[in-house]
Amino acid sequence: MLRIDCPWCGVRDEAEFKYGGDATVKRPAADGDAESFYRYTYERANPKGWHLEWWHHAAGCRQWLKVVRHTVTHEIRTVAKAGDDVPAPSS
Amino acid sequence: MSAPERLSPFGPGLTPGRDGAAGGTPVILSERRVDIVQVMGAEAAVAGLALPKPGRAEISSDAMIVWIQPSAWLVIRPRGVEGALAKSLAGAAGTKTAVVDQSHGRAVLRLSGAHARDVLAKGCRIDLHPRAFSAGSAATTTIDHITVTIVQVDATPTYDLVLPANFAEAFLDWLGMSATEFGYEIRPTA
Repeated sequence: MLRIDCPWCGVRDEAEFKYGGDATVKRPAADGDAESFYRYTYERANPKGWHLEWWHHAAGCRQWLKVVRHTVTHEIRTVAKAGDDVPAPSS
Repeated sequence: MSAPERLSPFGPGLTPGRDGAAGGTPVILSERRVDIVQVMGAEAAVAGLALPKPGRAEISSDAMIVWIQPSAWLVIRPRGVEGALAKSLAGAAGTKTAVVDQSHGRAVLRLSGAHARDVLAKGCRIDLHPRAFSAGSAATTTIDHITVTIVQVDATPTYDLVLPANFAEAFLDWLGMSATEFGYEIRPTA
């Protein structure tokens, strides 16, 4: 069970959240080619180590959060609001 | 033709009486018949109450306003004329507000007594100890898989639980089981 320190609600249990995937993925420009949209839709790095990801506080304040989590130890280093600029961790 | 009488979303489970363990101080349960309006984007006081910060509620003798998410609050007041509260709030708190009447969508259960905290703590993942959660605290979380906004009203402790109306009966099932060891008394609707 993860404990996520929501910037709005304080420390809450994982059960209140929904995982939202990789937060480093950037949508290509509207005129991007099919290959770039394929990578945007399907290709993920699946790192062993630090990972910047989306979490939705679905059963709390209903805000999207950016979380830096270690995919092996589950340690959480950073929890930020969706609009905050969080640099992608370098594993 | 007058409007039909509204039924309680808690159903027959909230018939006044005493249940659970005898002796000791029972936990008191009662439905609060209220109007509930969600106000988003307010910038000034609403219904005469200052806008509370995250995790807090402002409570007066006849109304409360509860923080539920960034820039969104619930205003709760004893039930009046259908739709009147929402109408009175529309535009009252600035020009960018969105006002949604939730009076039919939510139900409010009041839980009070020396063991009220113990009853909630069994199904609740947030820390309800007085050092972390006291009168004027508010939190949205899940209890028995049901999303509940918990507002602590006073130090008795007394809690108002804002529930989705269609889960009110299911929530009551859980609450009854949790309160059985302390005994509980259902009072008429307040």
